[in-house]
Amino acid sequence: MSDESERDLSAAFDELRAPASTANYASRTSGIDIPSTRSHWPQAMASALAVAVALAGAGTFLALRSARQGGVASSGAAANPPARSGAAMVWDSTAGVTIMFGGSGSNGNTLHDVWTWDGSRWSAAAKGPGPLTDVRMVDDPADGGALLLGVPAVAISNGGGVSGCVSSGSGTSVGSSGSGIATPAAAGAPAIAIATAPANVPTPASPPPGSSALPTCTPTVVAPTEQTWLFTQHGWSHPTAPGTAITPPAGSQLAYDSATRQVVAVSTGYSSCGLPLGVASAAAPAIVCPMLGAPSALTRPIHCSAVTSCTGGATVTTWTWSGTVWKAEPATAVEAGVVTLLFRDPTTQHATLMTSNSGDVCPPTGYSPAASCAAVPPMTSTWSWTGTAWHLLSQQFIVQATPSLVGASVTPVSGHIVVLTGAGETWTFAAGQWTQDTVTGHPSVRSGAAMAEGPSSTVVLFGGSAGGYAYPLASGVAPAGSQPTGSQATLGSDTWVWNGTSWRHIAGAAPAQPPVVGCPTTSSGLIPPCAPVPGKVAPATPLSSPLPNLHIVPQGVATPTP
Amino acid sequence: MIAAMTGRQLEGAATPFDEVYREHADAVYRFCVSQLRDVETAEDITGDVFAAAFAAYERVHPDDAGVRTWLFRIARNAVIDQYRREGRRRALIARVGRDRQFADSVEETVERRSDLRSIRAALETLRDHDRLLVGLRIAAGLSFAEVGAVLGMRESAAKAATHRALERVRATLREQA
Repeated sequence: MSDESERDLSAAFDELRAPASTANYASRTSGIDIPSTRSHWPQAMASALAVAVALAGAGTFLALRSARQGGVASSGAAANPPARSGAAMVWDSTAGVTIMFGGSGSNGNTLHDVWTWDGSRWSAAAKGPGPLTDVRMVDDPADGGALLLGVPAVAISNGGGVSGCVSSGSGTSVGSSGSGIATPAAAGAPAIAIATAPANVPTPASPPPGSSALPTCTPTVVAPTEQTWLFTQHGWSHPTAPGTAITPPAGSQLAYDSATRQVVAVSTGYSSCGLPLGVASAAAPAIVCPMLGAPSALTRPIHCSAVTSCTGGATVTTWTWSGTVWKAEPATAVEAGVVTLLFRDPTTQHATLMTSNSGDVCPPTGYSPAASCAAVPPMTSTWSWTGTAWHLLSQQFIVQATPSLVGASVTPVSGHIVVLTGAGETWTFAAGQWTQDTVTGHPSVRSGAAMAEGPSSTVVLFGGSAGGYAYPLASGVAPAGSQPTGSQATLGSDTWVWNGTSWRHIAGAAPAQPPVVGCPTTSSGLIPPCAPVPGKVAPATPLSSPLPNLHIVPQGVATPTP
Repeated sequence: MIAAMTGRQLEGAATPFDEVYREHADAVYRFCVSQLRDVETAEDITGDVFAAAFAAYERVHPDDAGVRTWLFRIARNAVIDQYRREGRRRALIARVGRDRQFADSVEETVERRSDLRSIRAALETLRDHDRLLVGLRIAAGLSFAEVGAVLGMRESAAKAATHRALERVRATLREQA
C-alpha cells in the first residue's frame, strides 16, 4: 500500500515473516484453559481493573497473561448476573461479546458491575467506574470498545425523575444501551419523560403567545454532571475530565457512524419553560427541561424553578465523539418526534435517525388552542448523518400499527430495530415501517429489561422489573390527599435470546407479576398518567400509544401530501 | 428472520481463520516489530493477537473487507498495552539503576538489516500515536483508509498525520546518518 515515497522505509520490513510460533493461536488459547469459543475479555477486564490497563478482545487473553505476570486475579468466572432492571447493554464488535453494565438492584441500589455475554453464558468482568444512572452505551470500534455516557448516581440526573418534558432520549434508546424505553425510576436507565397525556386528562389551557398568563419561570443552566467512559480490553478509561468538558446530556442516544468513524449522540427536548402540563400539583418540585437550540447558546438543560412544562422547538441536537472530546454540532432543522430512534444503518454505514410523529397533537409553540391545530398526518422521517449534518432520506406515512414504546426494550440488530414491548410483544422496524412478529414463548410482561445485539445477529435480553407502579385511575387524577401506593417491584434475573424468529429462555427467574394498584398522588412532581412510585419501576403503560403532549411539525422539509 | 431480512449469513465465517492467519500474519508481525522494543516481545504479542482473534472470530464474524482492520485494532490495543507495561518496566528499571538496551536483542535476532534497525530506532523517538500511524502504514502496509479505520480517524486525517510522522522519521534518520 505504500507509495513510492514510502518505499525506502517500508522495504526495510519486507523480509520479516511471522515466526512459526505465532501460528499456534488455537493452542495458546486452550493453553490458558479457556474454551476457544468463549471470550477471554472478561478476564481482561478484571486484570485490567487492578493494573489500570488491559488489552483488546484479544486483550482478554493478553490481560490474562498480564495477570499471570504479576497482575491480579481475574473475576471472569461464569455465573448468572443478579436480578436487575434498567441495565445498559451493548454489543462490542471488537471483542465479539455483549456488555451489560449496572442497573438497579433488588434493594433499589444502583449497580455498577459489568458482565459479558458470549452467546452461551455470562461472565463477570471488572466493575465499572462507579454507580451511574441514565447510562447509554454504544459500540465504538474506532476506540476498540464501548463508549459509555452516564451520570454518577449521587448526582442529580438531568432527566431522571422528571416528567412533562421530552427527555434526551425521547423515551427511546436505540443503538446505545439497548435497555431502551426505560422508566424514570429505573436506576441506570434513561428518564423516559415522554409527555404522555391520556385521553381523559385535558390539555392545559393554552393562552395565546405573549399572554400574561404564562407562569414565571427562570431558566438556569444545570451544571454538567455527565461522564464519558471508554470500556475496552484495557479496562475503563476516562477520556474526558468529568464536569469540565462539553458532554451530551445523559440519556442521549448514541450510535456509531462507520462511514465517518464517529460516535454520534443525539438529544431531544425543549429549550424553554412554559405552561404547567396537565394537572400537575403546585407542590410538585421543579422540572428540568433538556436543553435544545443552538449548542453554542445553551449547551445544558435548563432548570425551571416553577412547575411548568417545557416548550420551544423540539429539535434534535447532535454531538460527535472524536475519541477524546465531544463536539457540539451546529443546530439542525431536524425536529424530534414522538419517537426518535438513533441507530447505525449497516447498509449506508451511517448513523441514522428515525423520527416519528403521532399526527394528532398540537404545536408546541405559540400556545395555540388545540382546536385550531392543523392536522398533521402521522409519518416517519429517516435521516442520515453525513459527518456534519443530517440528510433527509425519506418520509413515509405511518399506515400500520406501531408498538407502544413506553416500558419497552429496544435494540438495533443488523440495521433493524427490535422492540420487546412492556406487554411482551415483539416488533421490528425496518425501511420506515413497523412489523409485529408472531412469536410464542416470549419473555413475560416487564419493563426496564436490558436488551442488545448478541453474537451471530441474535438479541439478548436480561432482567427487568414488574410491578411497583400504579395505573391511572378512571379520572386520570389521584384523589386529593391520597397516599402513594404501589406493590413492591420485583426484578428478573432471566436471560432470553431472540434469533429473529423466536425467543428462547436461557436461564434465570423472570420478575414476578404483582397485583395492579391504584395511582399515587403527584407528590413526586410527576404528572399523570401515574408516576412510578419512588423506588419502584413502571412497566408498559396501558395507553394504546405513547402520545406526548407536544406536536412535531417537520420543518425544513417538504410537507408531504396525504 | 433478521438474517432473512438482511441476507446476513449467521453461521460460518466467510473465511476460515487459518486463511485469515496466513493472509495477515506477516503484516501483523511487521507492525508489532515496528512498535515494540524487542523482537521477542513482538513475536509474543503477534501470537497473542491471533489467539484472541481466533477466540472471538466466530462471534464477531468480520467480513472479508473488515477482517484486516479488525485484526489491526486488536493489534493496536495489544501494542498499547505493551507500551504501558514497558512504561512500568522502564520505571522499575530506572529505580534499580540498570537498563537493557533494546538493540541488544534486536541485533541478536532479526535485525540484520541496518536500515531496519535505524528505522526502529527512529520510531522509538516518536510519540505513541505517531508510531502507530507509521507502523500501520509502513510496516503493515495498510491503506490510509484502513489506518484511519484502525485508529478511529478519517482517511484524510490519517493521511496527513502519517505524512507528518514520516517526516519526523526521516528527519531522525538524517540526524542519525
